[in-house]
Amino acid sequence: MVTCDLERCMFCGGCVAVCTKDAIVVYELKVAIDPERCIDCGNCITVCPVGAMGRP
Amino acid sequence: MASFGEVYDVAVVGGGPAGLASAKAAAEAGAKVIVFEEHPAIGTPVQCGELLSRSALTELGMRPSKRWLANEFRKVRLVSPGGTEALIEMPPDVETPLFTIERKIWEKDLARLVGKAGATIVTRARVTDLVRKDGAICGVKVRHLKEDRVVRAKVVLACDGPGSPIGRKAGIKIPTSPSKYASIAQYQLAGADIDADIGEVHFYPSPKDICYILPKGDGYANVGYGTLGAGSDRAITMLDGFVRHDPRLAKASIIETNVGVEPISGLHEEISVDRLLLVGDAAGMVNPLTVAGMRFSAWAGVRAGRLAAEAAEDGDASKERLGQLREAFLKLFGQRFRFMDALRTTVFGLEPRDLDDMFAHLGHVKIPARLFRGKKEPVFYPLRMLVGLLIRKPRFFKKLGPLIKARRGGE
Repeated sequence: MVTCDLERCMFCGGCVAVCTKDAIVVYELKVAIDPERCIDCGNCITVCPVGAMGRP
Repeated sequence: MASFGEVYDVAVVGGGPAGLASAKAAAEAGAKVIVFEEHPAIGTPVQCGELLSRSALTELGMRPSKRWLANEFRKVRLVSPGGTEALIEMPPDVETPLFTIERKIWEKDLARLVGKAGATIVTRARVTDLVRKDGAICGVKVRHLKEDRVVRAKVVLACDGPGSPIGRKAGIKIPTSPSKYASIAQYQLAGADIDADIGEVHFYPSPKDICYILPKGDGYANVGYGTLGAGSDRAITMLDGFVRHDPRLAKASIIETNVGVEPISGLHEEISVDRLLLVGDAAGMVNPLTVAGMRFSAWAGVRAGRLAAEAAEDGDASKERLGQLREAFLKLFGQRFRFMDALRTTVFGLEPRDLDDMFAHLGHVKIPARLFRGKKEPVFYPLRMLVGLLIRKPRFFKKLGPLIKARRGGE
């Protein structure tokens, strides 16, 4: 599953736009990724402008 | 303590340019309007280069104001990966189309007009879902200050930005492929050695890596990098590389960092369902090359607001009726978007030496003032000049020919 490094994240919500499973919610200084929905497609990792999204 | 009611004509999801433009127009047309913005302030975070088009101001009934106008400039410098430069200059006696703003203040100014028009804006209010009755959309669920509320509305305008989570909840298909999105990082620099009269576009280090400098005056500038669906590395890494390599920027202070992801696939196939309409970035109303969105959000917001107010009044908010916005948008901007898309594809297919040749051929371009009168697009002038290159260097026939043909189709 994809995780978000909150020290890098700028909370722009770009990951939400490319998520095929609506698994990510970004609000203010929080990012919630639903492990039940995430299919590890990597779209969010590709578009994240700051490299916050990744695999542990 | 902010309070709001339970029943409105129009509920607007998102308090950015599209949402505010929609709310202003709908309220001015007599509708009872509420705007929900999830962030604690209108205008932040900035996800924008802060280059504004005058037509956006005209649409919104705004005039340039000292409070938010940062800088006007007349020249654009293009720089190839090898360092060859072209300079495009606007005529001195026309209003320059190029100016930068302080987006946070500009957007608050727009919100002021929305308030004046009689619409309610609620900040720190996140729309989490749609409310349906017998399957039909009839409102939104809002989380505001730890409280979950239901607000009923005759029409919902989803102005919730790239990817439109609310549009998806309505069943509208939104592109998710990373190749259909630009990934952008930007620093606001202070103390940069930048000419306030020149904006810059650098193809660095390759033709598909687009870096820009937008001057805001007095050594203050927005410097950014966009992947446009096909960059060499993540946006912030490429931006750091660009800033380090340019001695005018390397010593400047970063006083703000902005990032964002924007759709570049053009207007979505579908932007409406019964009682819900997408507007702005949510609908894909973003120039596929420049990633400019504010002017399209302003244009579409004004139309969407009026459309929603009319629909609320006479009770017909069908998918087809709200979909009129899509037809109108395509009629006005469809060809331009197709051309910009073709231009991006063309540039990405070029080799670094192609850009050297093109920029050397262009040299110093002075756009004639006559192009600023009437309906012509001055931005196409430099492209027309490249036709001469096709004759001199045959390899450009294959590369630029289709583009110039596409341009003719749009004239």
